[in-house]
Amino acid sequence: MKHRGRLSVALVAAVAVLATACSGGGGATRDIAGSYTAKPAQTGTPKQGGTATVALTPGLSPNYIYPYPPAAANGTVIARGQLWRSLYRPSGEGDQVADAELSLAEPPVYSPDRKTVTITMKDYKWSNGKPVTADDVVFSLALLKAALAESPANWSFYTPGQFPDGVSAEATAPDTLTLKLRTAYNPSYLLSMLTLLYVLPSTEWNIAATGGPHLDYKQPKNARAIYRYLTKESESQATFAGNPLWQVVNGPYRLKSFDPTTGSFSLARNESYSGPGESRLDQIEFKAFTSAAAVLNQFKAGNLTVGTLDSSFAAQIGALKAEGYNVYGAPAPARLDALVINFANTVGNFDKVIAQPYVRQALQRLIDQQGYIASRGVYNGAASPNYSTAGTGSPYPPAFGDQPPYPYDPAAAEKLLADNGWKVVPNGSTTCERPGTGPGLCGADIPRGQTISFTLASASSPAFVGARDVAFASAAKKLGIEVKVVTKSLNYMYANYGNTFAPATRNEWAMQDYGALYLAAGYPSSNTVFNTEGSFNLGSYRNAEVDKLIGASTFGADEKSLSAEVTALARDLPVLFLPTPHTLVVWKDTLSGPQSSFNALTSFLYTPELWYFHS
Amino acid sequence: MTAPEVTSAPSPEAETWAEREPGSIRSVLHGLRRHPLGVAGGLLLLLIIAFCFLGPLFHPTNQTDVDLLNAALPPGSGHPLGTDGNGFDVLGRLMSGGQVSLRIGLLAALFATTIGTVYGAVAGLAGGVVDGFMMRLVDVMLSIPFLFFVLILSARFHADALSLSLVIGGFSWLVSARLVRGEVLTLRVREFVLAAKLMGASRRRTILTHLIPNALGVIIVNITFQVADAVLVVAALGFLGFGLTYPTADWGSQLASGVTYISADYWWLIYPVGGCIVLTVLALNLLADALRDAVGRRADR
Repeated sequence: MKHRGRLSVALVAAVAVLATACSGGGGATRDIAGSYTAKPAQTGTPKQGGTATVALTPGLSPNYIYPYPPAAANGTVIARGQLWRSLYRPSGEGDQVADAELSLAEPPVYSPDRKTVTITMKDYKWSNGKPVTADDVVFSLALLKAALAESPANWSFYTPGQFPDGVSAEATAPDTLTLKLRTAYNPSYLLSMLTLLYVLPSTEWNIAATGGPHLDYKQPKNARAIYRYLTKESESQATFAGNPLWQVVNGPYRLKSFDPTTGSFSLARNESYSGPGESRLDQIEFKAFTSAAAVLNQFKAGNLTVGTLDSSFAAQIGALKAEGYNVYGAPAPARLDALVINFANTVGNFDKVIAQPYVRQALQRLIDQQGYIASRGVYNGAASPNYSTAGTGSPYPPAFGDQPPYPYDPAAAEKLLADNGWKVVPNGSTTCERPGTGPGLCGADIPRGQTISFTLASASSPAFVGARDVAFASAAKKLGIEVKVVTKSLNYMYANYGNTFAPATRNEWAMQDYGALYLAAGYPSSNTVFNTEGSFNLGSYRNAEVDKLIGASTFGADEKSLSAEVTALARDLPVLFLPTPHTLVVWKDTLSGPQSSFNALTSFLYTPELWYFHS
Repeated sequence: MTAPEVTSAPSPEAETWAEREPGSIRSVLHGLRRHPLGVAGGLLLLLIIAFCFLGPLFHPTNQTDVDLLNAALPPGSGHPLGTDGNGFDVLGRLMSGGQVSLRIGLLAALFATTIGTVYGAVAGLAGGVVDGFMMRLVDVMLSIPFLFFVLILSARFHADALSLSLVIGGFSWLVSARLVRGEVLTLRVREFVLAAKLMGASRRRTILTHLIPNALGVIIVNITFQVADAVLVVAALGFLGFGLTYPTADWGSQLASGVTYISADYWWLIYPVGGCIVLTVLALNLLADALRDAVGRRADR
């Protein structure tokens, strides 16, 4: 009986396979990118009301509500930026750090030595009618420091000794905040940090127990007690929508419901919101998904109003437009797709081999960015070349412009190895035959007979990640380099592949491709990512010269120093650069709003208060 | 009075008797001839094996060098079934993927059947507390969700063909053990087994010489099902993204890769490999069903 059942399963599988593939087609290569680069204009006469259904990024279902989840919670925050605004709203355009209009404060004013910063609050209100004051910012900074006192890992933008260390805040007037800095920061860098400082209600949240006394949060001990209480409250997902704490918001929306099972949630209008935007929509439904294909299916069924898709679905743009959707696509600002190198992996002397700049240069020259972009199997035209940490179209471009230092050139890669003491055996095993240090030799600690073989952990989704990694492995094989591609789930990689937070697994991966890394749009500093002490320096990269340049872009007054940092990193290759796929933003043509509000979705910045339905 | 000479060598009469036992291989093959669907399944399986292992001689392709510019080409000249997302010829990929899938299936089945047969025979012959303990252990292991376990393993470790075979085999022997134990429970009270025991045959010799050979029909049927199961498991793991990776190919990974291009309508990445999986499992199931019926009919007699 069991085997008859198995037979039936096989036949059902056959039918399913045929059914899933029944759409037929497979035409010739089309100009995919040309079909989505034009931004649809704001249009129509706004109507009041309506519910917009928004697709959340697949696999990133929210599970936390307090804006600073502890590292241990592995939290994804609900409606980031819509319930509680940061002091400065990040810009979604990529050409500036903050969006001045949507920020809670006027631009900061610096003293001549840049160690005193004066910030004037705008006239924003909390949902309970009280004004958003400088004290609230002081409170927020105190809670951030309390989180870091618990563990430096509690904020992934933290480098010990830097912001918020050495920063004291004082409310010199209800609407005036004064920051005193122990070290002067680059104004753009500091602004990028302030875009991450969520302003929290100091008069409602300054408690350490439900119904408890209001505490002086300026005392670090009290701040820690408040932090612990708030994070504990945030562990109770069932009470997210009902807990009065979380109903005090300064953003345009408040949480109406939350489904702990799926992570889906809905937002209702904050009637007291006093910032820009008409907030015409009555309600926003955010739906969680586990795969991008499921999002696409819901778009095709007409069940979604707004969402994003990765470029794997670029071929579906025509079908989506036929369903009444607008589609706009572009590379997200300051997005970096790369093979992250683990300089601390000692398997097969990988650390010794990869420490040699010429090896990294040779490997970079094996990446055919234009080929990947053109290939129907990888990006199908929906990507842009990128050779820098600043991403495409950055206001801080590398000095080499569009002439990358190590473009695709397998012959040059072979020559690099041969010129440095390696016997290159195409499709075989390339070995070091001239060990030692000095010109023409393999390099320090690389023995004779050393091979180049390593493991590349490749995220199981999206599809282009696996395709580009296999293409890289194939190109390396032709040069006698063995790249063992192993597929891992994204969650596993996030949790286990980073030497700063998971040093025990450092020998499991020599390179990893988890898709995208987003630096701060507008000021894409690599501080915390590529500086030696950086909390997000996943592969233990270290370069004294780069540290110096990162220090200059972080603390120096000259904003052009960031270009120098970007250039140095592109030349030294802490990672191997891959093309940046375009993010597709999809929304119903019955919904409209400023172009910038949809462009910001490429950076996952939602501004539904600016949207409206029209006839 | 002298004691009768004790010998463990089977008499010619016992041999004949054994041949007629319902589970013997010859009787099973004899019974198979009455099942046209089973014969068709066997022939289809031979065809698939020939396609996978002899096909590359007639359609040689490069299955190691990615060809980005010729990726995802629809069927046409030079590529009868088109190319995949890495530019590999799909027809050639089906052959190399099939080789790996079948090898893993066969190796896993042999591994599972060997362990399961010995385990089941020992338990069945031992009986009593030993049998009870051994079978409860099997019950406990059967309660572990196999796919869940394998997915955890594959998240932590890198799978290759051999390790995948061992893991699949390491879980699949449980069914074999139950089947063989059941067969041994019926065989051990047969006269020829009792006779062998009376003549002083050791337990080891009884198992290897009398019980296992007479349960061979059941074992062969089980192997056939095990291969089919293993092919499906490999396909499922590959489909979930935890199968074999470049440069090795297997059908499941091919199907998973094809499904990612569903929205692009690259049907040639789905139909052929999906068809191969279905046909192989179908062929193995038809053959196994016929073999099982043949064993059962002889047993009924």
